[in-house]
Amino acid sequence: MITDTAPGPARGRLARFARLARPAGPLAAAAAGRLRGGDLGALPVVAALAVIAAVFGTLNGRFLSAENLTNLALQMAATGTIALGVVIVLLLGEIDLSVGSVSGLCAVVMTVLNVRHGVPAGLAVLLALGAAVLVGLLHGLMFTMLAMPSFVVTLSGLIGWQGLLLYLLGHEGTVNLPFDGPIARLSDTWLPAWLSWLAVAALAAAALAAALVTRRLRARADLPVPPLGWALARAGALAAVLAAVVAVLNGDRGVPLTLVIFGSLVVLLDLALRGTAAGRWIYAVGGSAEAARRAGISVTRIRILGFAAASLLAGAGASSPPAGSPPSTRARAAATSC
Amino acid sequence: MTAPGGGPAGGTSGTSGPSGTGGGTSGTGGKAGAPPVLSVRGIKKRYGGVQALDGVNLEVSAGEVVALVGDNGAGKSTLVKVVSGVTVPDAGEIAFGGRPVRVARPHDAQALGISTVHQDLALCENLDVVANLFLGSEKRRWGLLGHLRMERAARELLASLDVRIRDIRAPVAALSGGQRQSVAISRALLGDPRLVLLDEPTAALGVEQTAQVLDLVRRLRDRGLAVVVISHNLADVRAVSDRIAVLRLGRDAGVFRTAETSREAVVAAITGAGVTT
Repeated sequence: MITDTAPGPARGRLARFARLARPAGPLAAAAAGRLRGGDLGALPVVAALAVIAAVFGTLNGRFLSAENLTNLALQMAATGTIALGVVIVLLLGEIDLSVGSVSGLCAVVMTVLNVRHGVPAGLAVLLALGAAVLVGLLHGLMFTMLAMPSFVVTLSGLIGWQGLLLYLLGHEGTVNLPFDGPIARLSDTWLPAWLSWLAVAALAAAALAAALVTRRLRARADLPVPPLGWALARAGALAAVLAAVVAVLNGDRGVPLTLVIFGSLVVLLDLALRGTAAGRWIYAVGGSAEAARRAGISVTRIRILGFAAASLLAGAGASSPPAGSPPSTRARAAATSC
Repeated sequence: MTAPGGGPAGGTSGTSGPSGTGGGTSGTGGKAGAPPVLSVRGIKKRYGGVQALDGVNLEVSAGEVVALVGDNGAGKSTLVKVVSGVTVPDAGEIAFGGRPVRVARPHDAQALGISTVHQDLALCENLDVVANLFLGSEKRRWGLLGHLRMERAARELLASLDVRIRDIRAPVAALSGGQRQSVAISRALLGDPRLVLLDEPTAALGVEQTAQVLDLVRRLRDRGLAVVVISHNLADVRAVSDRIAVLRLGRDAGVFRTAETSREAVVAAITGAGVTT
């Protein structure tokens, strides 16, 4: 496993893999061509994860235990949601350093509204997300209208919003959410085993159905159709990965709701980026802002949208708290995560 | 947005005298009768201390290829940018299909039916061929991209122009220079334009690819499009154009019928060596 990631043999194996894939049809041949051309897709990430699992698993036997992996999944949900926003800004070819502060600020806004002012939890979350959008709009306007480099805008955001966060927290430096409040319970909800297995089956079926419908539509439109085996293999692989995750998590407390929310956000963002014009324009602006401008795309609007979305997702990351720790310390945890 | 539909098109750009001084020879070349597709009068544009365009006129009719030639800094690219809405002129009038129009943004030009292939192609290298072809004018339904409709239209378009690309789902970064030029020109034909502007379409191409592009330009003319080609290469210009418009230092330096003009006369107009026919 580990030797696979060494550069020398890895390239040989990739090439062999690419050659194996060739007979499958023109689309597979194209994919193999991209692979040979150095476009590795997600392979390096998968390889890095394998290395991390192997190294830490040998260093500490408990690393790969169900309990630890569950805790990792919980922590991943919050950080991952924030990272989704950073991805959007990176696609634009810019950087957002402020997401940690914005996330913490949102957590504090929500908690202060909920605990000190008695605003209902749902409304408090919405208000905090609204604040995040305003912050992102401000970043976007400073970047586009004042022509400030995104590095400078968001670095000052990182410092400034942390200051506002500390001001809102007041003298004590912490605000505790009640253990049994709806927000705290959000991070301590686990899917029953039957429901998570049902979800795996439904997702795999949906992926397969989508692939089959796409094949049908492509055939009707006289476009090259990927081989049937390809669609089956992809759906099968998805099912296998999801089943493995659910099996591990069920070995401990089950699938946490926060992970489901995070997963849904990932899927939704992917669909939005690839399936909508705004998503494609984000890629276009990142690839060549001048080309996008000449194609009639409002580069300014897309950039502001990107920064607003990044801050919104940073705020959403605050709403799905790192609940591996006691589920009362959202604000503190988020603040330290800055 | 200039509603292309009729009306005396109220507040178009300031009246600003067309200053019909330099370069006389207006040489309306097109087929008689219908007004020219594009008519540009007295365009002026200043960049800082440089007067890039100083009262330039140009007319292009349907089914006609007009070559725009001139030395470096003569204002060719600036004129194309003005017509395609990339830059706004300081003064002058643009008429499209006989009606005065205002082209303030690239979108205005597209809406009128003016397509432009810029010298730097303006492709997004991280997007695939289909995405680049439809960039900014994606086919959509309920806000969602029509991937299949666009891919199908892209295949048909590329096939009709005899452009061969093995994997149109690969990023443009993976294509050769000639293929990129072909993609850029193909893109100009989407949306059924009436006028196509080509800025140095053969500058970076080899002999065979140049011949293909010139064939493509003739095919555009045969489809009844008005075509403006900017080029440094007088051999290419003479091979493909019906008329040659010469710019010199931001002013008109003569319009010539390609078939009736010697190469020397064009060169003289470009360099300003006296002898105006």
